[in-house]
Amino acid sequence: MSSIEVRGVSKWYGDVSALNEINLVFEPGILGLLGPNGAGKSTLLKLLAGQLEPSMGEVQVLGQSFKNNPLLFAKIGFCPEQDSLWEEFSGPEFLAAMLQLQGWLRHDAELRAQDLIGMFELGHAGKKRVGGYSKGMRQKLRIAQAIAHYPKALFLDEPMTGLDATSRTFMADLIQATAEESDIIVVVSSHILYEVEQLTKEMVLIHQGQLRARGNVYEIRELLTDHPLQLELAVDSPRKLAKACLDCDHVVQVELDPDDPDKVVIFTQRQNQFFQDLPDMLERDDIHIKRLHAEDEDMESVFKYLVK
Amino acid sequence: MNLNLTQFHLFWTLSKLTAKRVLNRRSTWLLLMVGLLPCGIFLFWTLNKVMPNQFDVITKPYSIYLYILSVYFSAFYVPLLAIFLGLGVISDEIESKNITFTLSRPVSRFAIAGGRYLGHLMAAAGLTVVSVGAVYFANMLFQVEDIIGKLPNLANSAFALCLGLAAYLSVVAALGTFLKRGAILLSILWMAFDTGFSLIPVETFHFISVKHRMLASFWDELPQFMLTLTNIQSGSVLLNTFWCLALFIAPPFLFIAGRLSAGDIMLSESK
Repeated sequence: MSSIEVRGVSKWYGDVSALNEINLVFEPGILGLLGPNGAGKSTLLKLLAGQLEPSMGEVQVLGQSFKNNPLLFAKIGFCPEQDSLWEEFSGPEFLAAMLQLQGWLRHDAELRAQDLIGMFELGHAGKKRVGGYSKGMRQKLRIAQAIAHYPKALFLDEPMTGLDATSRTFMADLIQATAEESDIIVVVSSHILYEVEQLTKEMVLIHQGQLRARGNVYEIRELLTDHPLQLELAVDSPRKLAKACLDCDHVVQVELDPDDPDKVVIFTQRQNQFFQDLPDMLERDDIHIKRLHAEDEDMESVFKYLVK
Repeated sequence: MNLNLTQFHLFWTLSKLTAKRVLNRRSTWLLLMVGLLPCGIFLFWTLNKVMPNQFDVITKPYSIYLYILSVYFSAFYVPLLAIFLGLGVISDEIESKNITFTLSRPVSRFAIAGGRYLGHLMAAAGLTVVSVGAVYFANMLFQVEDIIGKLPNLANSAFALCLGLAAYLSVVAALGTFLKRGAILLSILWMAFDTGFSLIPVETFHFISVKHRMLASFWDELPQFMLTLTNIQSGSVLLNTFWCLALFIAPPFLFIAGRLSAGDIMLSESK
């Protein structure tokens, strides 16, 4: 069986309920797990990855339960959220160690580790210990250890954290290619809609430990059409930018701040389109950008809106 | 791809990787420096030979070696290693959340507890053997007395110290795993009591003293003051090994492994 089934799963930490009666089926492909901070995404991923046991209900991964079944871990890959690694090792040593703990023989593990180092463009670090790696490099290493042993199910908790735009695109392509080539189940959690959209159109929304919605990103977007994204920009010619923005059909409102002469607040209904149009507007009108802040970038405000 | 997914192989792999991690830390090398400190005493012995009026070293060198073993290593260095390394056997991994990487591999939680413990023991035993060996060979190098014939005694004394180390490490690891605060203080207190018990010439106290069992495993004649104080009958290595295993190594280890298998540790970590 190549699916994951979550049946009536609840999880409590003492008196605190982290997940409440979750029922889900995951088929091969990429599924985004979306929710604001504290929604229960990480708890659900830990349950799927066998890191925690449910207080109630059952989790079946590839037709098996984790209970007294450590060999099931050989079929899954898990990229945890926290910024921790085996700091005493270099990148290749860490990956080889993770593979050896998957039952790989040392020689094979070292060869595969070298392949992964090349694939994730970490070769320049050489024998430097991972303690000296940048945040982005550390994140790449965490993802590399999760996919290294060709798992049948892959769980990635906030995989894009700490990555720059180029690395995000690279990582999104890599995760998509892994999912398609190997026909595996990939579950990706994030609180940033835009990040998950880069990976998949299929999403599950979680809020306060409960399943709120499941479906295609376009269906979820439909729910958000009345809730435009709010962006704050500081530029050298705010009026020029305000005028350019008002010519775009997806911009519903523009505000200038009398207290901050550089600031423009833009409300757009299509975030992706806005970010595609913005460089052209800046170049055409010779506007120089000083600061950009997306007020509603995280899911917190979107969920507040959805559960209102 | 050839995979070896037997729990013994995974346990052994984790042990080796853990030992490598411990040895890769800078703090471990500082601990080695502390272990090598007694080598300096032989420099004084040599200086005493060159300038006999400057230093008043009258003890025979092999006795110095035994003093170093029975006082410096058994009462200070081995407990120091146990506290520094033992407290982190499981708790460091939970605190840094690195345990996630091990828990998401096909390694049983029993094997994780065993692998982490054995890895730390291997690293600590390595430091002890190197330090004791260095002191022994420094003694030989400075030609203060020919002790080449006592080479088996070096192996025996290193084993006796490692036995004590294994016992201390297991207890300290259990304390470190389940006490968020006060584990260091409790470990130091326990070791102080343990040494105290070894000095009380009463069988019952000796029975529950790691220090006593460690010293009693030495083949060598211990310094006279120690024999007078503790009434140690040295040489019963097998018996002492058995009691160390039964009383101090197995119960704390089984406690850690049991709690890890029950998922208690991860549960509290995730709150």
